[in-house]
Amino acid sequence: MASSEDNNGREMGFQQRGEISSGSMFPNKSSGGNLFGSGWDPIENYSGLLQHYQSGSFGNGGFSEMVNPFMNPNPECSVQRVSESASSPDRSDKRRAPHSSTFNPIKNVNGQDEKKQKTHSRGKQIGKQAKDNSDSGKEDYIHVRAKRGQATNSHSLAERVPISLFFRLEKLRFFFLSFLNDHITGKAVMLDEIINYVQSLQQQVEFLSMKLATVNPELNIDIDHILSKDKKKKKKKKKKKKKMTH
Amino acid sequence: MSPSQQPSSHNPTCLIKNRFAHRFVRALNNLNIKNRSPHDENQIYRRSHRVKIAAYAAMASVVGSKRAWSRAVLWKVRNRSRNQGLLVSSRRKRVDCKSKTSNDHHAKVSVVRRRNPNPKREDLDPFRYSGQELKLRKLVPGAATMDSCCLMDETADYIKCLAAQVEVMKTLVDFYTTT
Repeated sequence: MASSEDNNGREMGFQQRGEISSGSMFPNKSSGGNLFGSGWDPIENYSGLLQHYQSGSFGNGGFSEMVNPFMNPNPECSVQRVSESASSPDRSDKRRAPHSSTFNPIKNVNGQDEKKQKTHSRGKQIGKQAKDNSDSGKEDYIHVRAKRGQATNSHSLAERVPISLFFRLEKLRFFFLSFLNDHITGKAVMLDEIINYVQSLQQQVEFLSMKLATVNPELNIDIDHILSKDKKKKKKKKKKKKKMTH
Repeated sequence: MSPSQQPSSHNPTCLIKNRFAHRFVRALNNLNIKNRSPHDENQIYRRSHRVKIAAYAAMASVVGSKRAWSRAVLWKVRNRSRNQGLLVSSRRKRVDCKSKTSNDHHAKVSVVRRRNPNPKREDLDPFRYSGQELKLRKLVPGAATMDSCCLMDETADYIKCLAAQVEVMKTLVDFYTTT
């Protein structure tokens, strides 16, 4: 199952990351399994829609430079990142066996590790000081792990997957902010992903409402019947998950 | 496994989904009672628009007034219904009495939308109101005049609820297409 592979990859990523991430970020590792099994359909649909957005949404170079006055101007860095990430829409959206580099949500690993280490060290550090401890560890992490071809491939995947995790768990704001403050160039891309995700969800709502309007002139709608069906589906899924974990 | 397990201990989104499903289906019932099978494209479009508004309103009412985005959504919906009601009444009055009456004028005045009390002030804070954050502020309701931290908070909650909403709507559509 792709989901179980993803879980394993995630856990590997946790162990090799800084203290903060593994310790505090995902309190329920076991619940990670639920997240993929529970029919996270918006993500799957979003994956289909994501390809449309990739082309249009990468004018970020200017933003990151604007954000980061301490950074020595490295337009090459950002431009190359943009071009590489723009080339990613050709890739398939299937979740391959995760490379340890894939679970690297904000790192935006595109093979430009050295330049990124420079910008990383000079970048604005708005957020929590605890990040400093993890930064050095994460820099090593980036340097060791990132592989060029695979990284661009997994750009959308790596950032899509952790978004779903983040927004499922309760400590949303903390992780959101921690990731945003950590890596400035990543912030722009992360924001883009978020914007695309919100747009895709809203479009889905519109589409579904259209469908409901056409499909549904029935009058006698049994609420309990529908909800019991929902609950049955959820119970079945929960039972399956429990069997898998045991 | 035990039937006494409460959904809240498992998953707060379950609660949200259930409540949303209840309210949304009720709203759909109301809509269906009013307008039966639409034939026109226009009618279908209008109906889908109403369904969409009903969905957002149901979601916002489930969340209540804890969140800024839900408050903004509910405010918009209520204003919209108020404006529409006034517009309808003003039209009727025009039909009845050809000359402009004081009531008519009053209705016209009250239909004017209130201006935003906190304008964006783009000149004061260009960083905040440019680039992606601006897009995000446009997308998330009620997020135009918030600082970045609150914005992130609101978007996180908004996305969570939106995703739940989409899931419920999908199951509904499946239910109606199969049966």
